[in-house]
Amino acid sequence: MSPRDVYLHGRALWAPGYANLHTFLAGEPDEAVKKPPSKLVGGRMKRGTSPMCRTAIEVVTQAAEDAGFDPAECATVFGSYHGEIEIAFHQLEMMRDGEGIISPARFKNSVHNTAAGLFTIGAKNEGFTTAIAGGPHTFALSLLEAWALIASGEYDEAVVSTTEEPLPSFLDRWSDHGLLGVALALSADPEGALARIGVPTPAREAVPHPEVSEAFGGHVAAPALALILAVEERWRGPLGLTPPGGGVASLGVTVPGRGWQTELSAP
Amino acid sequence: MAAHSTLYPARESPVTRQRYPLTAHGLACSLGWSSAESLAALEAGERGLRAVPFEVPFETVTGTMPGGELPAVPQHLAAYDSRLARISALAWRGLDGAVKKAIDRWGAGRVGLIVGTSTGGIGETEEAHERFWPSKDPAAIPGDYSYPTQHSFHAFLDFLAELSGIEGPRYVVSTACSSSNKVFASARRLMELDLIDAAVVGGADGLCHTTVRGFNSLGVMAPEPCRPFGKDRPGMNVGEAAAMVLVEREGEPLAWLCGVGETSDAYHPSSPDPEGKGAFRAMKGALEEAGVDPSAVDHVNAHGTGTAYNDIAESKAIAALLGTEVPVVSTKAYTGHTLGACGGVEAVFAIHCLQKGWIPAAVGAHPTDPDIPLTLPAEPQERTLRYLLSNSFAFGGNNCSVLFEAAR
Repeated sequence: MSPRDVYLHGRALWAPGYANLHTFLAGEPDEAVKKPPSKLVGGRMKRGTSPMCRTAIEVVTQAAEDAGFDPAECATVFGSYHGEIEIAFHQLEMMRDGEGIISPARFKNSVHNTAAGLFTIGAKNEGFTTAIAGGPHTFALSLLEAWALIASGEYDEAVVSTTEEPLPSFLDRWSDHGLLGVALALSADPEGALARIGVPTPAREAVPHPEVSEAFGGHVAAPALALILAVEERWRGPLGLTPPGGGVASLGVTVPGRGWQTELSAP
Repeated sequence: MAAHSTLYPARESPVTRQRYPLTAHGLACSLGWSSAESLAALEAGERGLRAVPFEVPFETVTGTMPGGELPAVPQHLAAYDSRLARISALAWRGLDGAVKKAIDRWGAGRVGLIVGTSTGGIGETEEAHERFWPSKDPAAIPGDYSYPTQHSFHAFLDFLAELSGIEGPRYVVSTACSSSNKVFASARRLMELDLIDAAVVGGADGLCHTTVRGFNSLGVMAPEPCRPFGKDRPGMNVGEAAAMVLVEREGEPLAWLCGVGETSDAYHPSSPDPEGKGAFRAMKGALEEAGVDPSAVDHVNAHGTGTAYNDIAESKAIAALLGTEVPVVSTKAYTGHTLGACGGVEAVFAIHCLQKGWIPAAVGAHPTDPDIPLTLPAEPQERTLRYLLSNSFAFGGNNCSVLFEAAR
């Protein structure tokens, strides 16, 4: 099978202080931005969900909107290194208290694909969704899954996200990252695209990428943000997809080889 | 072909997919420590449903690994030691030789590792947290506890990569109970796009408080062995397992991977669409990808959790797409519901059924729920099988159906 070309059509970011990518790129943080609205999902359905879940839904929705995709039709890939780790620890605490019974509302929101499920419910999307974890390479591997959906002809449009929230205090010796979600909207259509995105591949050597601000530099979603910054700079050629130092090193995880890379070119 | 109800509009599948040979498998579950032991137990009609291996404040049974303590992981990989890693290492024994040959043939970087899990190695964190909790003193956390290498989703991926020498793309698909069906589609896409030549796919989950207590909180845990599709069925039993299958570009097939359908219910976070519309579209998608008519399906390994809602919804979907005559069995009556591993476990069972021309008995399905219009074999059957559909459905309304074809 000859792969179809894959193009970038939309981008999104949400973090405390930044309601969208525009405010981040403009360097205009707003202290009032504390919770993602994630309006796609109704209030009752969102009850008991984590900040990570609501952030993932928010950025996937924003990226689809930025690209002009119908959220009911596009495929979605939700990447996260740690998943619903905050809820997992709430459940552990519930086990230690009283009769050791877990809340059903917490339990149903504890799976890695909670955001994926709620997005499909909110968007009335009956198609493909998945949830990926790939350690420090979570973004690169989530991008690979989304890229393959389009390149193989299975879907014409896909949104891929990477979202991470702070680890619970029990685990914080292994990482000190904050809450951040980044999403990209991809399509097979070159018309109006921001860039063509080559297949993500393992890197044979260190591959450059734009510097990401210190606040997000070691974050698992940093490579997604670096890709967005690269598009802003009209970057052409190989682009590294492995998070720089910080978050990876502090987790004590060996990053095999030189990580992952893609290639950006004009649409 | 069975009549399609207007309840079940289906997305048109754009492409007929290439089929790929499944060339080896490894399984460790409550029926045995290997594929051979587990399949022999399945054939003998044994059920691996036992006492929960830890204390919980309610009555239930679980698909607990047999034989007491599980063998430790190799010393040089001790940092990865967890119940999940130990079960995975047992399963890996079944395909280790075949994976080494695949690496020799295709190159380590051309072999992928794409596996499913629902909770990773959370059991180790549960133990560490239990020690920590009374004093809240970090010093009480065992010194050998390591979240990144024991609990995190990719910990057992890294463990298996170290064990095997696989250097191709490796990631976890974690969509709860559909995880280890979806990995077949992920691997197939990468092979179709010539990014890899082979992949180990499958899944693993170990018993832990989180899932046993969690499903109890939803009111779906049976206090006794489950009875999928049975009248007045009491609910489900959580199980534990690891199951891995090697899929290659070319090779001597045990069976073929033919089609995968992946859909969303878009209905409810933890309850299936009551009409089974998403399940219907997943099965239909798998058949369409393979260019196989529904009338050609010889057997269905159902998701069949044994809960009231799942079994009704799934039976409606099966009846609407395949009719009511095709034999349907839930092997969760033997293993319990192994969550992120169930697609892998049932893929190994599917390969065996296709190879042997054999269908296990639908244990627990008789007397049958009068609202379930399916053929549920009361006894094992020997018959020629060509196409077998294996269903896995999950929280979030995440559905995946895989179509396998006999090798002969």
